[in-house]
Amino acid sequence: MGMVDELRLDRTNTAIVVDSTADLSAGLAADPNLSMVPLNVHFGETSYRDWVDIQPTEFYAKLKTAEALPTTSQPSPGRFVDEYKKLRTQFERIYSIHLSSKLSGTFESAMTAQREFTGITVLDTGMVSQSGALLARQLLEMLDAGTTHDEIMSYVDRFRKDSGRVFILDTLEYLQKGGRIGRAAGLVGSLLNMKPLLTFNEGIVDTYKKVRGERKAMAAMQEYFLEKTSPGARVAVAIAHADAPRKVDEVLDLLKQTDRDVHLVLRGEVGSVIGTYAGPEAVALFFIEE
Amino acid sequence: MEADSRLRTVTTANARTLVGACHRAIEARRQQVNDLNVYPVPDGDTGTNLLLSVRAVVADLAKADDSLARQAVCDLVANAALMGARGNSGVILSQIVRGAMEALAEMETVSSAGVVKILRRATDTAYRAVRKPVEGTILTVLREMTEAAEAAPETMDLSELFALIVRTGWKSVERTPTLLKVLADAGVVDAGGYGLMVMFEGMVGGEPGEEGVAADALFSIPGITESTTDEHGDSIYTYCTTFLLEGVSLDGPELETQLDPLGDSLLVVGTDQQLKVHVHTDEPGVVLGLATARGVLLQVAIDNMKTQTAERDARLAAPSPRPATLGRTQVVAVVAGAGMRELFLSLGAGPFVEGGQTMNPSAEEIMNAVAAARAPAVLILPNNKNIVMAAEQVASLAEKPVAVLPTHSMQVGLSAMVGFDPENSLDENVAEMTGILEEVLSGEVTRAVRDSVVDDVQVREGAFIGLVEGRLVASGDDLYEVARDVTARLLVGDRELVTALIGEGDAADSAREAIERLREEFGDAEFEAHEGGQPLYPLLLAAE
Repeated sequence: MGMVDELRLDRTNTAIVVDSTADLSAGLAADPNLSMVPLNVHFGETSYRDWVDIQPTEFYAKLKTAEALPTTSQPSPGRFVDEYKKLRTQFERIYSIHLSSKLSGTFESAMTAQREFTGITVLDTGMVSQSGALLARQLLEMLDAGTTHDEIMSYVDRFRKDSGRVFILDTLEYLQKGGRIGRAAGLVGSLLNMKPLLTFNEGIVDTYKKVRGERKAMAAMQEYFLEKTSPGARVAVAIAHADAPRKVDEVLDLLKQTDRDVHLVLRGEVGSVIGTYAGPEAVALFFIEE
Repeated sequence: MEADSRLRTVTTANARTLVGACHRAIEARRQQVNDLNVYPVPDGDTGTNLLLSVRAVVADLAKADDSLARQAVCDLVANAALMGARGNSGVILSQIVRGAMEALAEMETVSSAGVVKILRRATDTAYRAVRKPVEGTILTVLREMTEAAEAAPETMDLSELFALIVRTGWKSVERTPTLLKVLADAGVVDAGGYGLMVMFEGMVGGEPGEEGVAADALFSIPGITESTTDEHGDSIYTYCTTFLLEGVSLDGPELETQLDPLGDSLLVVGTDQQLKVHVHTDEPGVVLGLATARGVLLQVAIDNMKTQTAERDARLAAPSPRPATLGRTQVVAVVAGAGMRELFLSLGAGPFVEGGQTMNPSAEEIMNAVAAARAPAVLILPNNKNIVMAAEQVASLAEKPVAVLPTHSMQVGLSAMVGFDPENSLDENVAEMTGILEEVLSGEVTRAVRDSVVDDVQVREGAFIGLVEGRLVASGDDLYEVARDVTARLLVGDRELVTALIGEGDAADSAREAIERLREEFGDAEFEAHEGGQPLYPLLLAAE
């Protein structure tokens, strides 16, 4: 996009934008170089901005009693225009990180808005939830040290290709009813209590391993972690839960049982928009070797 | 082109009328559009997203100054559409509106040729906005409408031109499944394209004289009157209430705030001297009371919408269209018991052969089931060791690739089915499912048919006996105690998940109760119980 690629990028000239489905944890949300644009969740005719008007605790309580499942919607392009306009007065470059464009039109909204500016790179993680927060955190670290556009783009490529992304849902019901079941569709309808280990493949939900029972699913998550990392590697890990904090500790324990040098850099909750499809009791693991 | 002399320029007022008509049209058909939504994400919200996107424009226009210049009105509509865009369809709509408004802003009055220009600009802007335009969507419908308008004789008057565009648009909507496979698979037309036509037709009307039409506000088409029909989509409220309120210094937003808690689909549009109000409510009296306090009511209409709910309920009860898929591999399973069949079916097995321990099916029966399977390869689950040989015989005689997974019990067959994927090849399925078989231990609780000593266990006729992998391990009069002994022998190694299947007959209640006690006794294990309905075995167990 006609950028001078040698420009040194650091915290004085570069900002990161994420959408609310990055499920930022509190520390990251306070970062002065990071802004968040919310998606919306709708219970009937009432709308809430994800992570702004509605926090996870309230959301999962509502989800339990709601007569109909909530729906969600992406931010309008205008919302991104506003955010970019504000940031561009202070920063020369913006990296806008968004959930899979196959699951939401958020990326499309950001792309539409981006056309009115220069210096903005819109990125599709191909995943959801704290994968976005983890990528944002890694890019902020790069800005701390000073970096270039090319370095950022090659890191993003590596992140999209090599980072780990798996999750376990208590039920596939929310994913299916919300129309995001993807390649895991074959698991729906089983009368046996499936707890498949799910992942993102080419931007949509896919089955990594079909398992029954939560413990077997957790064990499969540990196997996945070992397969995707090298012995002794230092690994940055993000774990998010939907109304089930104990599961974060369970997953972390399993990772720490391995010989990998595990650094839990983000620990957070699945917000209302992703929670609409994940449902309560979900746990998600994202990681990348450092 | 006599009509041209009566064409009007864009004002806040006629923009309100046009967008209002668009809003009414999509509101009335919101649910139909939602039901069509399978692409790009099948979440059934295209209608809602279009409605809310249009509603944002309605709201901004309601707040706008009546005396805005042409350019300002067009900017306002384009900006409102951009800010209010919801969902993929809303975002594309916002780009269509943007193009249309850019073209419209350049026109003193709007002629047939102007309509063509507006459509062309809308089409080009929308196509440019989408990174990879997909045909068979709202984009195709809009483009074909535009192309039809461009091909029409220049002398065609506006009402004829609109009729042509509407006809072309609906034909284009009908063709969307031929362009986009996911639509054909689901047996629907494109939701976005359908929504576009609903809105367009709402604005300009269908054939002259039919329902529709606000285009009159801008285009002055003779012979078309505004429709008063209002199809109702989903509403939890009973009465559709509409009226016109006349007064001095009417405060629309304030009235909206007061009416909001009373219902949904609320719309308050107009000027400080005249407001059009539309609301779905259970309390029309309260609504009218609030309005009367502010001015004079005109054209009050209260319709009971529940008369239309029977049709809606029928729609909701109908199964959603799902294309029948035929994979690469099918499973023929030998099962006994209705619950068992349901369980196997839910995991993708079928056709079935009825049979089991005391009623081994013939090779011919298995052969018939294999012949009934339409997939290119078949995997047979005999689910009993006495049926394995018959199954192998069938496999050797079959004309297509058939393999046998030597499952010795239904519960083990069920566990193995978790590894089945119809999209995988026969060999891949055999490998995956064999891997599971190696992990699973099976247990059974049944009744002894005679006094005997088996495997060093003393057995009395009629007593419960417990088997693990076909070997007798326990006997007694108490089903729970026998089940407990069996379970203890199943939960060895790292096994921690027990599948318990309750049989038919007198002992079913005891079996259910036994499972509850097993859960307590073996607190570290996960238990999953189902009604198998199998004969002879009050309880079948599998541990993995």
